[in-house]
Amino acid sequence: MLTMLSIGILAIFPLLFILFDEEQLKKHRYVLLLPLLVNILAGTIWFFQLQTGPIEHHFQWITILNIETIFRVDWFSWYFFMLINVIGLMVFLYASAYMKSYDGYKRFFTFLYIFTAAMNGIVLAGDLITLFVFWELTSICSFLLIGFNHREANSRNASLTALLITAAGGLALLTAVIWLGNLAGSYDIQKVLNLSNALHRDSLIIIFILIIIGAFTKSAQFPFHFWLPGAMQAPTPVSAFLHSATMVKAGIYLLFRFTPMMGEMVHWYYVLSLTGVITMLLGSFSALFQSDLKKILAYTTISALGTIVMLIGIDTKMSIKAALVFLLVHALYKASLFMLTGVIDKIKGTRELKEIGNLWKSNPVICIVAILSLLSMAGLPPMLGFIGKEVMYDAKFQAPGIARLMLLLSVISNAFMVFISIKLMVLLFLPNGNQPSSHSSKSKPAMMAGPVAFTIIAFVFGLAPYSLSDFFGNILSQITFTPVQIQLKMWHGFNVVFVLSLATILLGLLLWIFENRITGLFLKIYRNLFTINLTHSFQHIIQYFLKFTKIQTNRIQHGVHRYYLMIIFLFSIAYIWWKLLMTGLYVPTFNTENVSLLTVVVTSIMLLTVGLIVTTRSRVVAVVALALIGYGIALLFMTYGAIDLAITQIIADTLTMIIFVIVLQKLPRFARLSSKRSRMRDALIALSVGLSITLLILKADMVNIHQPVSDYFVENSLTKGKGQNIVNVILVDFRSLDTLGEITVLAVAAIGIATMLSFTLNKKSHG
Amino acid sequence: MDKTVLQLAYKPLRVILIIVSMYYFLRGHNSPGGGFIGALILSAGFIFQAMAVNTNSARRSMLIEPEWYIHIGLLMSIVSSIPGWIYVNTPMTGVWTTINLPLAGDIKLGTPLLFDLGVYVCVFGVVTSMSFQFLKHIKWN
Amino acid sequence: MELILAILIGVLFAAGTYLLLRRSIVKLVMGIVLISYATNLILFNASGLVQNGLAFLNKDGSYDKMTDPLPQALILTAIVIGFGLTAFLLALKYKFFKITGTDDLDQLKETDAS
Repeated sequence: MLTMLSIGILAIFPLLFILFDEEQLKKHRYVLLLPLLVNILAGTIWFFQLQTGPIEHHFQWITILNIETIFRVDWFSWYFFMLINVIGLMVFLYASAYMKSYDGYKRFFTFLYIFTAAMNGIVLAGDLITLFVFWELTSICSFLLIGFNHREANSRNASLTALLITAAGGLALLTAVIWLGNLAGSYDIQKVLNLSNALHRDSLIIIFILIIIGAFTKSAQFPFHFWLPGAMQAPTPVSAFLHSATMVKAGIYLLFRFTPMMGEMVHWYYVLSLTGVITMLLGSFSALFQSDLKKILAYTTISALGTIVMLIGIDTKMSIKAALVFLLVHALYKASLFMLTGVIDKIKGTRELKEIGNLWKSNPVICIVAILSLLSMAGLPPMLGFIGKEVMYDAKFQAPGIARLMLLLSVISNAFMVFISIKLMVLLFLPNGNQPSSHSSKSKPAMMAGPVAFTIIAFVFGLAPYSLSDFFGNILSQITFTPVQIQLKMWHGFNVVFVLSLATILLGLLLWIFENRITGLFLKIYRNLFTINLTHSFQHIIQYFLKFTKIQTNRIQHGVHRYYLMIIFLFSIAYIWWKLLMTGLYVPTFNTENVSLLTVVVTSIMLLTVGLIVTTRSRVVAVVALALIGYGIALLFMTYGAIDLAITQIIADTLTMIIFVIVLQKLPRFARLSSKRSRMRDALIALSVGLSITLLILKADMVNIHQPVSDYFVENSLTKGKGQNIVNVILVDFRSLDTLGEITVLAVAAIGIATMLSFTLNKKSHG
Repeated sequence: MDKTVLQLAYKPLRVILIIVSMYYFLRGHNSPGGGFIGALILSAGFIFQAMAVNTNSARRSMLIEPEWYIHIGLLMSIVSSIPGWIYVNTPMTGVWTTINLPLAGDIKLGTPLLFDLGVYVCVFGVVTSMSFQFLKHIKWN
Repeated sequence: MELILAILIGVLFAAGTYLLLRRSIVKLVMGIVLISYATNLILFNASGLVQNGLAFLNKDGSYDKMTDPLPQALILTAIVIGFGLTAFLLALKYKFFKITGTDDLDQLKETDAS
């Protein structure tokens, strides 16, 4: 129940916003933290329950398809859950202050709550279908959040790009999920993973590719990475949340989850580690050339994600451990840095690196926190980042295969990170000749709480990493299905890893010292390497696609409705004739069994009247003729035992005529609009339609395949329906759902008419 | 001149149509009639009034706006599905009871009757609403 | 009788089709009315025609000459729906004429964002 509550409270909480208006909500903004506090409490309770084993909740969903909603909390999902909600708490606190000057406070928090709920849903989901539903929900919410400033073209484009890419990945994931579910006979993740050994390996490769696409699009891996820097169009709190604990971590979560199943595949190893390496290098290298603070951070996120994916790909116990630790490291420093960027943005009114400067004098607190976070990012002691980097090097050093090469590349990538950290520290905090701007230099406590808290956590764990050992050991046992003991230490002794760390730092320092000489060279490489701007190419593709569809649509949907109808008619005729000829034409015999003089007379009159409707040029004659046909049909109903129908037909017909007369008096006379040739053509089509229908009906009379369902109604009308009028009993009892649908349609038609007639065009653009 | 004749005629005609409509509706379960037919007859009376006098007069005679009849009718039909849900665990199953009235004797009451009443009210609202809209916007009177 | 009815339906369909292919909207609406009538008749024809039959039971649940009640129930709703549809179309047509000042459907070509 607690799992449902923790997701539900986030999803339902925004409904309370109805009670407040925007100003009141801003005033009582601390209420906003409530759901997250509840979740953290839930997490604490689970912490104790988890000591005895995983927690599971099952809910029936679609029994016929064997789909259950399962929520399952194990150490691994607990880890993510706490990451999301603790960072979420700080982000919400931060956002409550940050967004105060923006319009759409309520809208923002509604999206953010649903997004958080969806994120929690992903990590708590115990079955693939539920996982997928929440997965898609995060894509949609991130679309709304990135495009929050929807009046700016940039944000709209960025959010659309993000949505298209993540939703495409979602489709791939859906295919994989259904496939896996069918193979395993269950959507329960635990069962699917357990059965993995029995699965046929060939189909597993396709599933693997699909899952990889899903995870890579979400986690911004090469070549899908380009949506992430664009996503910085979102308000800063959102960026902080997306980049640190949510969204991009969903893909990572998925990869972790499927490690036990697919980790042993060769493809898994190569695809993941190579993509990871490329993404890692690409991210950190691109970050060198950005001047916008948020963009720099966005590229470092890509790099960090690449690192994690690579570590998952290597798939040794060491590397999984490293990935888990690095995940925490990254979440802490990235959230903190993004929040600080927002603070700086508020103080200085800019995020351009060159224009900030000189922060040390005005805001020493920001500087200290930022420096510590940057140290963590650079992987320097005494922060947790150091531990993260150490275990990462260690994992690669001990792993077989191409891991050694990766080790070298990660050293380079990390050196870039060190360089970026140093550059940021220097440029931001030391005086550079810029005048302090006139913006208020006070930072709000609510906005500083998050960075300070995360930095303290990273600092404490950095000094005492062994306190995390047991916890990560637990998670690791869950992922690898074998009990694992791990040790996290600050000082591993003087070994290769330590040397590598030293080399990284030295390399970073050297880069910084020779910055002026190197930058030109790097920029050249960068330009030559990335001549194709993926973001732009993607948008071009989308634009060409839109153009193409427009041309296509104009060709097919030319707007002359008669030709649409003509095509429909011609095809129907052709189809009917084909079927008739295939099954043999029925030659009708005239049987006089139930023909009466009355019906013959009535029918003859109707046939004449039909001719009148088609040929007359008088509207009144046409309407009267139409009414006559209606009455004739009523008479036929009467003759063959359908009294209810006859009455209804007569009244409905009369009412139709009344409305016809009312409207017609306001409309022009019939004009002869078509040429003689087109009239002949239409007459030909019409006659063949009529002939086909006649033959079809005669044929249909011959076919009687099934026992009529009516027998049941006749037998049970009096006993079960308590009525002698079987038609009425069918309407209000046996088939009452149909009738309900029908009166709903009528209601909609009535409302439609009322709106349409009352509706007036402001612009008379149509001449 | 003919207007005045119509204006004289609409009242008795309306009364007759209301009675006929009730009659058709009530006997609908056992003889020809029912919600649809009853509602169409009933609306004919009011549409006649609207054409003879004006829509506002007809609206007034209907006590509440025709649109309300649509809502109430739909609601009644939906509500009638609930007892079946509760008693037989299948929504829309007919549930019947028999009550004994001093004069009329045993009367069978069931959810299908409520459903039919909903249809009656809803269709009445729909048809009158549509016609009144037309008459009003085309400025019949 | 089935033959006569089939011919009648065929003629109704032909007339309806011809009217649907006209450019005038009034004719289009009339065509739709005719086709919906014809469709009701098809359903009715499918129930098998029994002269002077009834879809009613006696008090004791017996019956004399039964016609198939199900098509009747279907047609009953179809008639009322058809009425609603026609009314809606007429409203649409009226509005269309009010705004464009023409009865010609080919004028409808240029509608939204061009």
